[in-house]
Amino acid sequence: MLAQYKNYIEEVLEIIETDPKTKEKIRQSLTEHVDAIVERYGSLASSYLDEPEKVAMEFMDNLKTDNVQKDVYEYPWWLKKRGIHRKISKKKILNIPLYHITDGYNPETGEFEVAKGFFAIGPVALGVVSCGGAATGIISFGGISLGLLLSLGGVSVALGGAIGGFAMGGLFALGGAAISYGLAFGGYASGHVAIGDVTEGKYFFHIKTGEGNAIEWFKRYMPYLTRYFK
Amino acid sequence: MIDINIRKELKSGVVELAILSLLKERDMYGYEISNEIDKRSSNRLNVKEGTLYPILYRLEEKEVIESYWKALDGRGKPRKYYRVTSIGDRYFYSYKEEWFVVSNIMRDILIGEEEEC
Repeated sequence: MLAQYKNYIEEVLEIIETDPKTKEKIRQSLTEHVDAIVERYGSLASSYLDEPEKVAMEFMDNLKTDNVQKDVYEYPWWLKKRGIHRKISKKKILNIPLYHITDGYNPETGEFEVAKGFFAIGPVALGVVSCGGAATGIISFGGISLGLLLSLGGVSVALGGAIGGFAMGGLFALGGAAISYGLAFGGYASGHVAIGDVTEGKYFFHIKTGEGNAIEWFKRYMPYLTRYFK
Repeated sequence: MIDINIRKELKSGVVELAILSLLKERDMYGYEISNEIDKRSSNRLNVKEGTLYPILYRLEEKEVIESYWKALDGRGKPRKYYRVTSIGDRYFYSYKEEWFVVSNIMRDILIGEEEEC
């Protein structure tokens, strides 16, 4: 089926307020119905399809009222019934939605869902740029965040840079406790170059005492920074 | 087209009986049913998907009809065909009977009303 017809069906389904099981039934019926119209009318098929709103309203009018939900979705207790619940971009990049925002509840399946998109926001998010309770991505922000390039969060781990309460980064880490293969800045800092109150590293600098040999490393590799050092 | 003048409550009953009548003749899939109703009513009773499928769901739930998947001539995309069950047989005949009785009563009432006027 062509994308335009798939989108048409999705548009209708988006408007229909009913339980997930009935929605799935409608999806199947509509797919078959539209397929038959396309088979009969070919490229003119779209002119034989009513407006999505009209089709959806007719469905809702004719469905048993006990199947139609009073609220938009039947929400589990842990979710509020206000605000944005779920939004998925129709635009896709490399077959990934441009954005996917979710509160973690998929009303179509009735199950928990992970936000997956180029920009992903949700309790659990997976994306190029992701944000959430637990977020994974190239750039990620979250309570627990795992990033390839950069991560920011309570607990953050990244191959590149990590910033957070507990930060573990390949290149650099900045946080209450910072552990890095390269540079580490933090209350507790452990790395090749460690700067903080408690430090572990080949090159270190104690902030309180002002002692350490880290300045040598900076002078060698980042001379442009050392001009500000005494 | 008189379609727009048929009230929802009345239309649902009319379409339900029409569907059963067609399925008594032969097994059909959704689009075929709506097309056949269009054709036989000379496009006066236009049954859209939003009306057709909820009725089919209800009839199937009541076990008046049942469905099965079949590809046309064994080729192409399979379609969901509907057929009347043995329960549906009895349901159809009693519904048809009721329809004739009610339509006769209503004709008497309505024609009587016109004559009085």
